[in-house]
Amino acid sequence: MGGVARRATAISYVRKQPGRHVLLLDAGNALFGQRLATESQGQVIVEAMNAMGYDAMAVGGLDLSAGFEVLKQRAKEASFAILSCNIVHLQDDTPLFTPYVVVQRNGLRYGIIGVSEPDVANAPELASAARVADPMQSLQKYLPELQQQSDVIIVLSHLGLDEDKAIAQAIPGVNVIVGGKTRRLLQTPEMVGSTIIVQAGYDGEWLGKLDVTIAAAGKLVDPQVDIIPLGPEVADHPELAALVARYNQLYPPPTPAAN
Amino acid sequence: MQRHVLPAPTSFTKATRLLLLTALVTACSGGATGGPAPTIVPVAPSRPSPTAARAAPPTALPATPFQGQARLTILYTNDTRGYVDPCG
Repeated sequence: MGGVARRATAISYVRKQPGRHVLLLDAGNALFGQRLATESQGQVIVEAMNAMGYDAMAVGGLDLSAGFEVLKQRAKEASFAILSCNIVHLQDDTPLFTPYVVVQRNGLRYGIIGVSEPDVANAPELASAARVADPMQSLQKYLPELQQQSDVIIVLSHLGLDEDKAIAQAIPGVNVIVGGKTRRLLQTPEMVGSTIIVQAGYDGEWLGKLDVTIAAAGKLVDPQVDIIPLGPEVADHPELAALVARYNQLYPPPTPAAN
Repeated sequence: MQRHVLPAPTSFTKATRLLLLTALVTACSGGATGGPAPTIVPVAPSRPSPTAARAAPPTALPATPFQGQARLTILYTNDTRGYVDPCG
């Protein structure tokens, strides 16, 4: 199950469907973990996400496993936004990463804000330069200005499902929370009031798909979730397959020791 | 880290599954035995910049203004943890 080449094929297929706006988002812990990703310091993942056309991702703890300078370099290479509103400089509480982004699709403005887990504070180098501010307070700090610029508000959260529900209960006006960390495969959306919460498992084995109707600015109705399994029935996207092959040449897998 | 055992997804609607299966050619990493090449639409090259001020250009959708109702699809992933292929 899984793999960026299969994911790209499924994404391309959905993008071909007419009459809808499409956003492609990630809730964090994307860049590190497996051999190629770690050896390339996340470059293979950023390049793959660029090719797939991601709009934004949140910073998870794993994304900082090579240090925040490496992640800031990856953010410069990314054609999507790497977001966190609550990882802030020690000196002045300004955010290290872009807190939010506004993406336009055919006249509609989608405000997307990222929020990171407190565990991020354990990342290498981070403690000497930055701290993780309270997620709820940070969201409440930035959301008013984001709401002024947006028709729909989406939170990319690497906090976990319980915390996502708490956000939905405490902060009005959040339309969608794309969550992570707890690695839940939510086959139907969790609804807290009118806030839609989704999460799509782990390790890239599934692609989550949320379809909603925007009845008016800030009003989303009829949410439908499809969890698309990325099994062998999904063909590899040739561009992404070539990318992975290229990185495997750059960082060849270890060969078994000769006897 | 312990992996949770999850049930097979069931909410992937039959219509979507059929459409995907129609559009996609079955292939797997070990299937280098030939078969028809998949019909792939290149991913859109235009992406939003990571700043609030520079919004994304629209995708290939028709440039019709928002008239009070629209359909939005959010594709999403989380905790992909550096997996580039099914093996790692």
